[in-house]
Amino acid sequence: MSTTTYVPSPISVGNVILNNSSSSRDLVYQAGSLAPSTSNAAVVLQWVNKIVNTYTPTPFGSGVPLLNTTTLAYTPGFYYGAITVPDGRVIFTPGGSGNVGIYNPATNSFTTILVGAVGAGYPWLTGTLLQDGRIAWSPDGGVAGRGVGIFNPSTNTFTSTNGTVTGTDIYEWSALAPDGRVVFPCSTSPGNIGTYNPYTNSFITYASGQAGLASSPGPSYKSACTVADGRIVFGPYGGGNVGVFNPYTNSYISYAYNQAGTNTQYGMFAGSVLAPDGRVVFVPYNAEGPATFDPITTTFTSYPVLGAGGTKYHNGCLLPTGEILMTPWSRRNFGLFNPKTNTFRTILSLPVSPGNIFPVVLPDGRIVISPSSERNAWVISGLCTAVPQDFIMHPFFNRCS
Amino acid sequence: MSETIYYPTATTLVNSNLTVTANATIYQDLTSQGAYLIPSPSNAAVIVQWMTRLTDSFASDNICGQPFWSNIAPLRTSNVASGTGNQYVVGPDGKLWSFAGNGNMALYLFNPYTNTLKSYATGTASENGSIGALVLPDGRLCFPPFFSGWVRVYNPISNSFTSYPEPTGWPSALNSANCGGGCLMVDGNVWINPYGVVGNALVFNTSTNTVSNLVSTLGTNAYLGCTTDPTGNVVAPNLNGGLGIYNPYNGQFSTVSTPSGYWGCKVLPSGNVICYPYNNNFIGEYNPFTRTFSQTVTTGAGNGSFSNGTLLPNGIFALQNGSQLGLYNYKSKTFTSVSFPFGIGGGACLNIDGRMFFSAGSNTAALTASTRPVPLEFCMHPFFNRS
Repeated sequence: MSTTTYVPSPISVGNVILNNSSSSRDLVYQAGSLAPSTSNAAVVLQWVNKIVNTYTPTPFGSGVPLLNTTTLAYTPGFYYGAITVPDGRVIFTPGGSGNVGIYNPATNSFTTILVGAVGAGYPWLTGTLLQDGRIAWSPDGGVAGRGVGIFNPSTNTFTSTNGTVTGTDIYEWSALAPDGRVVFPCSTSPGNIGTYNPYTNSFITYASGQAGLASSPGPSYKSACTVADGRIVFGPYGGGNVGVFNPYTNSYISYAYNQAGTNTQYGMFAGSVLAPDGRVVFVPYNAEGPATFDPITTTFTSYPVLGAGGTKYHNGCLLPTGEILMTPWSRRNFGLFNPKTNTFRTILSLPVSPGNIFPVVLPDGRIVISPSSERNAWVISGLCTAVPQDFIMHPFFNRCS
Repeated sequence: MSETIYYPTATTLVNSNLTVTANATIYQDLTSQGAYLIPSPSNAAVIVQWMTRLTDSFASDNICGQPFWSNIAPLRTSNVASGTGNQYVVGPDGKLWSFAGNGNMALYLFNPYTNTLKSYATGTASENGSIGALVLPDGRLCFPPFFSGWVRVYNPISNSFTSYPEPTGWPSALNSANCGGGCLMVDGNVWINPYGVVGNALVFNTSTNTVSNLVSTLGTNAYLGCTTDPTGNVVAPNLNGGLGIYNPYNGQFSTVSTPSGYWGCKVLPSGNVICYPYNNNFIGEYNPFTRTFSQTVTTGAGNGSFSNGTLLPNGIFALQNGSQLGLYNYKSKTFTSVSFPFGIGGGACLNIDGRMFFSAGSNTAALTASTRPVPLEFCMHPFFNRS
């Protein structure tokens, strides 16, 4: 038997040489594994850009986005967030449903698991994937001593960490810090920053009562987004500030903004998404359009292209095309913000106003939309193509915005 | 007509020949292709690069790394399902099969989403004396003989077993062990170890479905477990001492001297072959590039009794014996063990969600080493997907 070598010999066309004899180590490729930090920020953003620049805004083979509303069974109640777990399933946070929703892209099936003793109201809100593969659900207030909820997708079991949260503070949103902690902006006055350490099962608060944390009425911040240097940006909801928490120093600072169409009323932005250029894009709820925040220059810029009218969009996600998909609340179309051109467009049309729904990008390029109140889940296809699993699982993107 | 090149260094290509006035060199990422290369002396370096990159964050460090968002410390074990077939292998479509082997006909399909097992066809009782399993290039599961005279093959599409007899002269009685496991060779056929009375290795031709004598093993016939290494050679530890090395490119069989007591082997990300200490208490590593064997670290007092192992996505190699999981770090040459109270079966496999499934008493258990999804080509590569 002769040796078969797969690698072809170098070929030469004119003076162009295709050299197969050596391969440099691709550090950008590996940057999806790096912990976000000041020193790693540049190469981490290169990795994000390398992925999204692989896909043009209209990838080859894609056509008009198709909204599929018939494949997933209806389940009573609604879910408040959605996270992809390592085996590829999408887990929907109980919210007001009293059960865990599970979407399996491999079989295109939707099932539920009762979590038991969920209590009144919205027991757990959004979620963050922990480093060990479990999900930490953020605790709603109104129930003294309610803690972070832990769902283990490997065993499909739920554990309550009652008592880890002090008092009745509401921690609606969360993001993963580089050291594995989960960081929550508190949405009740006087406000603080909550941190859950899954290794010690402890909950510690910082910056209680500091400027910008308290707001009336309602929370100052609604959404949390880890950025390339490891800090966590809190999206402004009321009060006219962008919050930034540094998990390396456990310090907090707020930046006030004052731009047209962004601070005229309560409930400005309800979601936040990291853009490939390192800015954070805020999803307009009552604001007149999207806005961006550059965590390096602390520059806030609004794009009031949507005009007046409230409860527009509520959540969002970065697509592998580089655009940011925004899911509607009262509107019936989806928004697409292009951070390269800072332009906004709409696609598709829902049969009803959906309320609180979350988008999740699947490895095959489909996007599953979490079920809302008495609505089926939707699946969008044709918007983008298959994407690497590291992109799907990275905490920059695999999160409830 | 003109067209625009998409790449960042975009330029306009006019409808004429491309003229380059200086030499230009274009590089491509060959490392990512390593999973698909045929093991051979010339491809070995790229294959090792692929395995290293797969299991490392950075090769320059001395630890086995993972993304910052995936961190299991310490590694986590748990029972996940009632029932087990004792050994596990990843099937052609990524499904997980569990089987017993060695006279037990049980065959199950394990669903990692629901953590449940489903029984499947099992074949003929008299032909079920097998040891381990591997996946053939056409997707069938192959069960090399142990206490039988048959190579068993399961077709998951037709849900049926077919048994193919060993050649004339081989003992086929159920009370006579004559083979000791097999592995896929670079030509797509299956090498089958001799274990017992006949001094020849067998080959199962996957195209003609025939079993025949392949090469003399020089009269030493206590080979248990084997693997193809990155250079393409078959490596088979001999329980009585020595490694059998078969070069499929020139058909030559040779041996490398080692202490006795090694049963089974697999490829490490470094390209070395780890040999499991069964009647020995030192882990062995065979370097296929220098053809040298070394003992690296003890697994503790007494003999290790390890006869199976699985490479985890973080580069740690998990050895299995009847009572513990041994965790071997091939970079730091360190060994730790994890006791498991229910007893541990032989032969585990890695699922795409990063969990390693193994048998624990009458249950299926999982070792979680990473939350980073594992590429299917890693789970299914013949270096690793074998029990």
